[in-house]
Amino acid sequence: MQKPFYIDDIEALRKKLTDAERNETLMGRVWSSVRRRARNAPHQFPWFTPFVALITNDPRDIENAKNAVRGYLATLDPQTFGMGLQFHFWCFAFPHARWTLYFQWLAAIGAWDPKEEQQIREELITFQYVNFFMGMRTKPEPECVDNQTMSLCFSNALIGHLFSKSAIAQRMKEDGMRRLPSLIGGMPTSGYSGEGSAYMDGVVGPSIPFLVELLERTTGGDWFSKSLPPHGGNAESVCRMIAREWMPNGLLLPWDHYGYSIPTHSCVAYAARRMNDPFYSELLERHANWSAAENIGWGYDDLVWTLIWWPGIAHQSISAFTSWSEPEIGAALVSDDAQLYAMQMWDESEPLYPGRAQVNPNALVLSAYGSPLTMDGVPSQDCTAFKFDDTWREVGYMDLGEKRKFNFGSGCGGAHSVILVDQWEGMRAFSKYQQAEQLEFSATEKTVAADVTPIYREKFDDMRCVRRRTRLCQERFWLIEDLACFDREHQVTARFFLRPRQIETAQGITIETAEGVRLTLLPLLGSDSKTVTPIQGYPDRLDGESLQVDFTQRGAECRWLWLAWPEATRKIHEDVSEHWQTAPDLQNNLSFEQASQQIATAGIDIPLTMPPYLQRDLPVVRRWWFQRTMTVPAGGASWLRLPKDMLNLRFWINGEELDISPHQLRMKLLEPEIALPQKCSGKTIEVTLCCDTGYSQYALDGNSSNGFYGKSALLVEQPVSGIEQAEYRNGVVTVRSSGKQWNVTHTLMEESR
Amino acid sequence: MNTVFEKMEFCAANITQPDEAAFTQTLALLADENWRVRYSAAIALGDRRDPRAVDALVQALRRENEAPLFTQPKLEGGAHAGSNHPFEVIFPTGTTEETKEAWRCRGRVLQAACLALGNIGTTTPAALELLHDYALDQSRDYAVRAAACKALGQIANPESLPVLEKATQDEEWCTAREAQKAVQKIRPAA
Repeated sequence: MQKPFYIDDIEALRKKLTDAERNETLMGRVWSSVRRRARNAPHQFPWFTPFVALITNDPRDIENAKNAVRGYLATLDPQTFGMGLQFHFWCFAFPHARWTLYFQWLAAIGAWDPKEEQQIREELITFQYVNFFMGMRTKPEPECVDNQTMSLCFSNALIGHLFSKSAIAQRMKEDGMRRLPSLIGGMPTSGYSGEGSAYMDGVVGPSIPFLVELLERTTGGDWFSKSLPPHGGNAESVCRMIAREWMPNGLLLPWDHYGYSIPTHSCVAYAARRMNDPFYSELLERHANWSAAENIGWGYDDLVWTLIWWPGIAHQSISAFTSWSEPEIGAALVSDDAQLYAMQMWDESEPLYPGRAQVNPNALVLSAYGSPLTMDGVPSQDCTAFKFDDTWREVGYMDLGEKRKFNFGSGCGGAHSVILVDQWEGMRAFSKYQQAEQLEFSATEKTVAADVTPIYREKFDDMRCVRRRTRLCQERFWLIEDLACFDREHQVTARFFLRPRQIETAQGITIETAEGVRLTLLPLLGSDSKTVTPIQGYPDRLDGESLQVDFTQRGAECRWLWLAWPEATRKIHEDVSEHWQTAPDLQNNLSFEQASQQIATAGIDIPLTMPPYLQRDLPVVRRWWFQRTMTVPAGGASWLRLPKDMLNLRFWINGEELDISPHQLRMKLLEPEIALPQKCSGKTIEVTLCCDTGYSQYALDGNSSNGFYGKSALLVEQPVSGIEQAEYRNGVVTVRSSGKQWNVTHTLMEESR
Repeated sequence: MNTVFEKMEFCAANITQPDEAAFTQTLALLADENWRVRYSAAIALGDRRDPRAVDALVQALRRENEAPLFTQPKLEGGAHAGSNHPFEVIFPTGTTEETKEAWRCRGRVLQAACLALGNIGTTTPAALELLHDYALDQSRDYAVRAAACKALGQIANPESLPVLEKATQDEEWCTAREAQKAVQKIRPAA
């Protein structure tokens, strides 16, 4: 009998998961939550069912899995009439490969009768051949290296390998396998594909284990760590870059396209399995969001592959977030306690029409005390910003018979925290060349600098240099220095996209995020002449808006030295995650009174950390109610922090509903901190919550399969004094705040190195 | 060899054999009533690289050009990639099975036949004319335009240069890239 492909030892895998569950380890809890969803709601979580059937061998689970495969097959013919399959075939190829793999797993445990098995096999092979073999042959070989080609080549190679008795399958395998090594080797040595962190994390990274394991199983040898032609890329570097895209605030870097999002797990789990480096296990054990079951490669089996690859070996806790640099693309500076994080990027942008590889020469991402401070991403459909005159484009190749006109300005320099010259917001490259060069990086000194002159010089021929240096100083603040030099005078703008909301300050700009973290950006050198423009709809997530802050000066040599000073204005008073009483809302129609009654009579005691059905054998339903009492500290303001991604949250204190709509968009990604009314100060209050959960991988109401996640806590004010005095004199930056003084030697950048 | 799948398998299995009967039979399957078989036959003939297949491939391309036109049907119910949730396709009134098959097929046989002509490498004026048309025809799927450009590069006839130079400006990357490669290949010889 065939083995279930990719599973070398099914008994060992079963034992790993059973032991983990019995020992109540994190892996055991994740496995339980997957099994519960697959068994209790197989129609809502079809992507979990084949794995659960494989592990449990339970007839009910096997039947659920077979039905999931049959359901997928039933969609194949209708899919052929959609634009998606016809013009975006790669999105369909990767899931097709995995459903085919799951069919093979079920075949390996004897789940199919021979007639049905043959019929399904032929159907899967035929669909692959006419759609994705065709798709793969559309992608130029060998130079086309991206997530789309990976999906197409992998699906042909895998399905070809699984059904190698078929001549068609053999044909697909031949071409697919031939291209796999160059897809790994065609990646830059940094491991960053240039497609942005969302595609890196959602497609490129999760593809790597599939590619590597297929190559190793079919050709032998180590395909993980060896560098491959044509660019010397290797799988290990990709995995490392995937892990580096995790920020200490729980989000992925908003790098290039899409902006902030929740990280997936499976590539990091695979890295933990392959590398003897506790860094990866540390991310999983102590920093991952286990309620998130994000889409990988256009399917919802991230947790399945995480459980397969995850070694689950106990290790001593280490610091997961440290400074790093990749000379071709960017660097991050992280404080020892991981509370302060800065990333400076200079990855190459796509010439002419920047799409995913955006124009962000030396753009900065700042985060402090768990709160993102800068913005990047994509505008919402309603957003009117970034539609620059010179960035319109019309294409007709992605739809049948229709032209699509759009503006790609949000991929250009004007939509990023960069230097702009003569207000050219549609700034981009027009031809291919090396756009940037790292000048310095020190993980111990926590400093980074890069020169990005070439991408400016293409347009401004008198440009002599554009450079930015970022330093994390004394584990407390950042210094950011910009230098732009020309032969003639120009207007130079230092643009920053910051989170709302602005606080009045005499100099520079100060913001305070919804999480109560302040950032003051103060020019110690250079002009303080500035404009602050709220940009509604940019980005399309988090606050749904940002502040575009433009500092300007005119000259042939323009320099700024910024002090970036972060402060946390709130602190945790008490963790209130435990002992919430909960009740399911089976029909999504309970009133507050009915829900309170149900909780009073049949409430279930549970921590408010993730949906109840992930924690226990409870119904997998959309809506849940929660209630508990807590004592609000007396004096001053206080907030209740709740888990992130509580969908359509409603909130009552002592039966009185609060409007929490301002938090709704942001809380998809960040834990909301809801201000408690002053009248609650010093009182014991009853808090009631009602929220929807990610109860299905394909919910028609738009709910995803992600559940809420995090801890709830009471927060109180933490007094801050801001910057009392700051200056740059005689090569030393001096900062005073809260009665303390910091002195930092700073030598200004020069035009020559 | 009764089912569509068996015919497709036949094409893939036998085409590289030096068996003349298999070649003849694959040529015949290039005119099969089912497009999946025609698609498989075209791929197989490209793999065999026998110049005697060129005329049959040209005829196949001309037949495919006659496929009925189609319009986008409406999809209802969440047709996500990889989903196993059922959804409905609502076709315009009067849509025939022949039209549905044409939609399912779209440019697949055309792409396979273009790539086959490229693999074979020797050509005829008729084949060249068709490939030139496809390379620039914006009403065709980009898979077809890209395949035509790639094939023209493999054939490397200097007469194709003006067409290919125009195709380097195609707004779709795969097509433009194949055209650039083809121009680079032909130009030193031109």
